Amino acid sequence: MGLTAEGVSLKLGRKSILQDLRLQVHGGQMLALLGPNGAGKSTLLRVLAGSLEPQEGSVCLDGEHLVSLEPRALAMRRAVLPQQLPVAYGFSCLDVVMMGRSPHRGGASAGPVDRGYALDALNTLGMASFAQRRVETLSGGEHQRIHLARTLCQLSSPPAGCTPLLLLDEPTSALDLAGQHRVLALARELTQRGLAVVAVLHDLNLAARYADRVLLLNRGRVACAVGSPEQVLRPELLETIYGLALERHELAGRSIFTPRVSP
Amino acid sequence: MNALPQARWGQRLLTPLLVLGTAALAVVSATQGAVEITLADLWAMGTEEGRAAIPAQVFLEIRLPRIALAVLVGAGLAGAGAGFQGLFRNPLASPSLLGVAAGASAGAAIAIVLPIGAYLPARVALFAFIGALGTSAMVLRLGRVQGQTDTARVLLAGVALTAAASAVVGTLTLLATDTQLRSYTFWILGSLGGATWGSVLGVATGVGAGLGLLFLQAASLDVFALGEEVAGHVGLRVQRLTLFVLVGASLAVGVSVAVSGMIGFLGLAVPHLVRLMIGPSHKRLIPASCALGSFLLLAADTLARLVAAPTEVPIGILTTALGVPFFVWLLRRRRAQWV
Repeated sequence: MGLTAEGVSLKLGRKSILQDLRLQVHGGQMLALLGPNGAGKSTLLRVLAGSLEPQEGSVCLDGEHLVSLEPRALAMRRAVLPQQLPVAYGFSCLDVVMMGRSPHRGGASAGPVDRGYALDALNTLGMASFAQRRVETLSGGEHQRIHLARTLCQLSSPPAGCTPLLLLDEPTSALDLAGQHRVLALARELTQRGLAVVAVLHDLNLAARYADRVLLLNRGRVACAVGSPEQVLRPELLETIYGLALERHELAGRSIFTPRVSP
Repeated sequence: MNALPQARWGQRLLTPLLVLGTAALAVVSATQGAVEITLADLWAMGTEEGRAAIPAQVFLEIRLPRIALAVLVGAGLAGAGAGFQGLFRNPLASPSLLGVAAGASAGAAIAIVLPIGAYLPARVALFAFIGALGTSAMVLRLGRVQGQTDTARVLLAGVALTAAASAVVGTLTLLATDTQLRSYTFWILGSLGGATWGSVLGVATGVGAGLGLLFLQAASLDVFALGEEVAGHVGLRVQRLTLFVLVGASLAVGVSVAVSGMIGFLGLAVPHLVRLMIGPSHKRLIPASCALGSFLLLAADTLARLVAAPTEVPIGILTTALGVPFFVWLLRRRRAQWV
């Protein structure tokens, strides 16, 4: 089933941010949200996370309305990596990752099972040696990876029969080149385990390479029906949206976008 | 993979050690004062004549309630400080800097001066609680911009509300009758000297309920350190947490202020110091802050009784005199925003 959004419209104040938006992401798929700054990508991600309720339309996960789900029940199957990551001063990386377990354990304190999931998640991101480091001593990229580990930890034991949903807001913004590819390769790997992944990206090349489907947003509207990277990422469409002339090159079966140099 | 084992031991032992230290200090405090009470006198209280003797009477009716009150108020202010700092995600959030203590004192002043019935400690406590809750809720409200709590705004709101509260208090003293003014002055001087078993019982109930409410939120406050948005993403009911912490901390502060007046710096410095020693986890931070608050306030009150005997130094002056240099040292020592 996965995530479905139908006729979603949202206004903040008088400003219309999203208009009549529709999308679907199944378990096993990765959707990239693309668009210029201020297009409403982060807002859409908040709506998909259930943190913002749209004025019109509905967002469902496995057929259940996000707004009708208990916060804890929702948190057991949906994790979010936001763009702004406040530093939890004084806590260790392991503490922060383990906080992803809080919806699963209710009021109980963290046990060895939670610790195990947290250490697994740290391992997956190659951050095992950071377990006891305090988060305020990390670099931006390390901090982002710790929070990514926290989201993995949160989704590591979803209730049976649910599609776990991972929402990533610019997950590569603080990462170096290798880190960007590693994180998106990991996101792809997670889709193979049945997760539905939605990632806000800026890099067209990364989106073309890792996403199954792409949604191009232009001031709150879907600029082109959701589709495969080949269908959506057309130079002439991108040019009108970004206001920048682009060329698409085919190299070894992959699309690569570069700005067209004007003569 | 484990943290240093010593650190773990220290984390577990701090609270019990502080409780033992407070108990030892209580014995010392009980024997010091105008009337000499020896350990032998305390020991003799096992017998009937011993209980009837003057030292035993002084101990039971004057010193013991005062010690109990110092322990409760110290725990209340420091525990509430830990709660506020967790809720505002800011080490500067404390009953005094947020204006919550001033709000409580304005509430207490209204209760004393209002022309309804006589001076009633319970009414003062209730109004102080309402004043504390009102200010803390307003500071939280004013300090938020687009769902994020902004440090500068929170502290400015605290400054503004402190000013407003002192204006209220000032106006009320003008309107008060002579009798009311006497009760008011007696209260504002901020002393634990008026302790009776009645006030101890009242404060124990209020502070106990407030701190209990805070402690129940300890695990959630840890998650809240990730920020409001992320805390929501991992399933925390942010509004409920906010409400419980505001009510719990305001209750502890309101009742403490109602009985002892303004006692500064405990709510700010103690949680800070404890975090420095055992880390930020609220499950340990809140009890240890309470224990250290008790210990320090009992020590300060004992000093307040003794340094200028036979007069008493107002305890608020003493805690501030000790707290300010400590705080300056802390600021210079740590560059991190959150210790």
